[in-house]
Amino acid sequence: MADQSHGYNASVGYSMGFFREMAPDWMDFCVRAKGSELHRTGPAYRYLDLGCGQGFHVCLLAAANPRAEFVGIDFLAEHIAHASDLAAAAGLTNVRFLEADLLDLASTWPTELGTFDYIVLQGILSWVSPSVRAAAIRCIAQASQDGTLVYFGYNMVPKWLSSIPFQHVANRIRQTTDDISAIEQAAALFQRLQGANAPIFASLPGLKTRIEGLPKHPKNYLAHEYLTDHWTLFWHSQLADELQAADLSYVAPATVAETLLPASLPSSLREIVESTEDQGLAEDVQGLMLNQGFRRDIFARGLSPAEGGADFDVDAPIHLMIPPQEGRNVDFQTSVGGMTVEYAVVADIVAALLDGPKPAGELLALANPTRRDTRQILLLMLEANMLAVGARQPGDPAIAHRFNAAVARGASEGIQYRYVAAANLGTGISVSELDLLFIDTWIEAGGAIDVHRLAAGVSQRLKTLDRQLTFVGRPVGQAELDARIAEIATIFLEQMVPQWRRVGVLE
Amino acid sequence: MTMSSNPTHGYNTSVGYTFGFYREMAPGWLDLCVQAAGYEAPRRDGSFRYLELGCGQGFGLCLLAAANSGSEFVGVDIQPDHIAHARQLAESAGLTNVGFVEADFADLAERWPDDLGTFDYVTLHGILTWVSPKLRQAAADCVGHATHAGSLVYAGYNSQPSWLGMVPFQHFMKLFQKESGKPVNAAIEDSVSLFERLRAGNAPGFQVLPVLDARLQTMRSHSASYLSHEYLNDYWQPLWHTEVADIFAQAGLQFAGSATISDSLLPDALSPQLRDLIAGQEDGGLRQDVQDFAINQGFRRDIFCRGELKPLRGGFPADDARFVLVTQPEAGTELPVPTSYDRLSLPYRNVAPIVQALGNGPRSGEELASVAGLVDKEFRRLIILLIQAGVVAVMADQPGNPDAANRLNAAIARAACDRGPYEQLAAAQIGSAIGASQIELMLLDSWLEVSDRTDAKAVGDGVWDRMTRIGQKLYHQGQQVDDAIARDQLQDVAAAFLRDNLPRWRQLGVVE
Repeated sequence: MADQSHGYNASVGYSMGFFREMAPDWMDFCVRAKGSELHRTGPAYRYLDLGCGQGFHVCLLAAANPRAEFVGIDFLAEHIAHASDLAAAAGLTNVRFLEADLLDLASTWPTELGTFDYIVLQGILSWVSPSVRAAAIRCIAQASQDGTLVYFGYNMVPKWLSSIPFQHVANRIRQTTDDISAIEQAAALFQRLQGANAPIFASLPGLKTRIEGLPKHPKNYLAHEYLTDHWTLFWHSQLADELQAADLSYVAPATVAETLLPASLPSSLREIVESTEDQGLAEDVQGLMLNQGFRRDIFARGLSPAEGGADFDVDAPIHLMIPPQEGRNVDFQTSVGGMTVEYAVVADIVAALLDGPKPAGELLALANPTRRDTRQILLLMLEANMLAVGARQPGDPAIAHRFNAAVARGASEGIQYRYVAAANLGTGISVSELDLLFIDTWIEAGGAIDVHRLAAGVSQRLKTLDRQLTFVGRPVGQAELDARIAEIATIFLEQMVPQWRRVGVLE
Repeated sequence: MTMSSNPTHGYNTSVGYTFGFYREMAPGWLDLCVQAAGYEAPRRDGSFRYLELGCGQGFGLCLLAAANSGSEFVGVDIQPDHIAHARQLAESAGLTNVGFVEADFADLAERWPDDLGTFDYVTLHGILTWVSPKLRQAAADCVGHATHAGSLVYAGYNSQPSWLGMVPFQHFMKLFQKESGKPVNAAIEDSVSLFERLRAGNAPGFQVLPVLDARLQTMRSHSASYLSHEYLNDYWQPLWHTEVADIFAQAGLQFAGSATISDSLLPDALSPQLRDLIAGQEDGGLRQDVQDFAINQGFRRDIFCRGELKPLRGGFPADDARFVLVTQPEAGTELPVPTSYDRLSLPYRNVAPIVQALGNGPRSGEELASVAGLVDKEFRRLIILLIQAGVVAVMADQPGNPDAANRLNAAIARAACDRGPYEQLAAAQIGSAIGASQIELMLLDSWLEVSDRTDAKAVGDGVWDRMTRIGQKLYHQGQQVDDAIARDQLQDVAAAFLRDNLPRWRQLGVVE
């Protein structure tokens, strides 16, 4: 085939992401929060990641949910090779990968793949041609059944509009140079245009923010995001229209704070949304209002949308993740707006979870005179990663441990992993590279290691990787580095290992 | 023609398009702009063939056909009512050198009718913005069929990045119409009011699009027919120059310059930083895109040439180019020159020598440079800005027979007396058309009818009769003039018409 990639940028490997919003229990929780019923009953569900990239996300979920079955499909051989290697290294038996082109798959769907309870597509619809997009939707139609939840993460029109000029110019420059220099040249060009006061910056204020934010992103992410012949920004209604072909209808946002919409809007804006009858139009109006840049939507096949009475899945286990600092005001910043509350508003929720997860219903019933709307606060705490939705049927910590050992080993070899599987949560949690180096050293010693040897092992790994450690932004010298690592080693052994054992990251 | 379930391909056909004429589509103008861009205009011997793809109501094409009577014009459009109007207009003016074809680009692209042949000029105005990517490709394929080496192709289209800010407005207007099934006017009203409410509610999405804010202020002042054609299409895609250049490159066309003649002063007219930045782009396509970005371009008029372009011998304007006065700028005031990159104005004293010289009839470039006391780059800049401002035009090398223009103009003037939609007159000496107000058109109609063509009173009375017939009032500087004195005032207006307009219009080949 002349152009296997269909204009999709395939030359720079995509980053090793994990997305909590694409975890089955999280999706279920959001669907229930919007009031729709669910079809899935047991832990033996089937999950398909269409356009799985390097397969890290789907491997992690497989490790955290051993009774479910996972399939990842991608068109890039090197992606599939990485994914299969990782699955093999972690000894995963419930995940498999398929290297396939969406156009081919759509015309002859391998029936042995069967149908799935969850199908997820992160980003890919934004980066493929209209014909490949139509093929993806035909694949979904064949891979779904009544009650299947389908997740889409996609870039949206309102906020991304101002990035169109950068995307266009960078992709044009790519015709004459390699990806990384195309990104660099385009960024330099726009910085000069801004420096020369090109009037466009006054009419697209968002562009300035984007240009200034470019250095913060890894270049391979930028290449992947921008250097593609097809770069489609969606309105929600446009995607919803196209998905009708697969008999899918919209049920809920997977961005949990957005389940609060439109009630959380100021009244003048809320009225505009509420008075808009057509659902697609109302979602678009809301997106424009909020200047949304990215949406995570859950569509369902054969599920009817909520009929009021949106509540919780009261049985969903809620775990404490990163508790807010005691005594300090709690600042919630979300895509639907910001809100600051006193610590007293969350104190009882945090306290209730200190000795382990609680069903959402129990938390919802907590009485606190400083809190007007417990449901809202719980959703905001989930969004802020203070809380997490756990698995209704916890996985096997031994399996997650084995996967995390492979991830930690990979990190010691320089792979940019940033998540580990948590068997009791059925999802992943984010960790730093340093965390992974600690885990690798600790696991290598079979968990029997003192602070001194642990610190030495981590220092050795940092040296091998040629990593400079910085402390609050300033680089530290060798002596200070050793002291810091020894400090962290103590914290690791005394606090992190027990914490990670509790959520099923380590055995 | 094959039948298709949706012959309009998502193009909005429910409201007839406006009766526009764009001087940038005139063949002589295209030649001039190619020269201004530094290339030889492909020579033609007297007569040429001209095709407009998507000719709408055909008014612009009829004006060009009348002003270039020795050449052959063909208009293609998908809408039967457009073609019917165009044919009727051509017939009423007795034009024999223009023909109209009702056809779909998709069909034409697949099977180009042999009898259409190829053309020296092919123009497409607006349509690339408003059709699906597939139909855009079909239009480019048609251009491939319709051109030969040396053909010039004009494409006018909404461009990036200026229109980016309007994407949300277009989306909502289209959705409102689709979801509500309401008529166009109601859909426009619904979307304008939605955005006004969003503004009132301080929606963050509104604050990041100041362009939207500015355009919204004037949205209600546009006609429903313009707004519906601009926004209510299933496809609405502001384009980058390189996107258009890429599809035309498949037909062997290369970019030959902008038909917005003041663009030929770019990038020198910009600040040194921007100029260097643009000039430093090695890739020609990227240079245009970066320039558009720098000036926030909203509409591009691109000229492409099939085959090789030869560098211009000699300077611009050519020594033998002859210039004629089109409008008389008001003495003592600054002359506004709107360009794609700035709202310039020229001090009257800089313009006066040229205007005065042209008051006595057409002059060569050489003569004008000498009266203006300017050379080379300075003269080039001044003459380009005067052309851009609509003050001067270049005379046709071999003007057509003025009879055809006079006949069409008589039909236009007659229609104006019955509230006709037209606002231009054919000008044979410049192979183009000039703007004319309704009162000017009524004066012309009256003048053509009176027995003594120097009798201002008779001409004025004739206009008064025409106004009375359609219940029109006379306005002076925005104020309605009392009927009792309107008649007297019309005599003065007619005298001014005889004194100022007619001599100029004769020079331009508008009237005999």
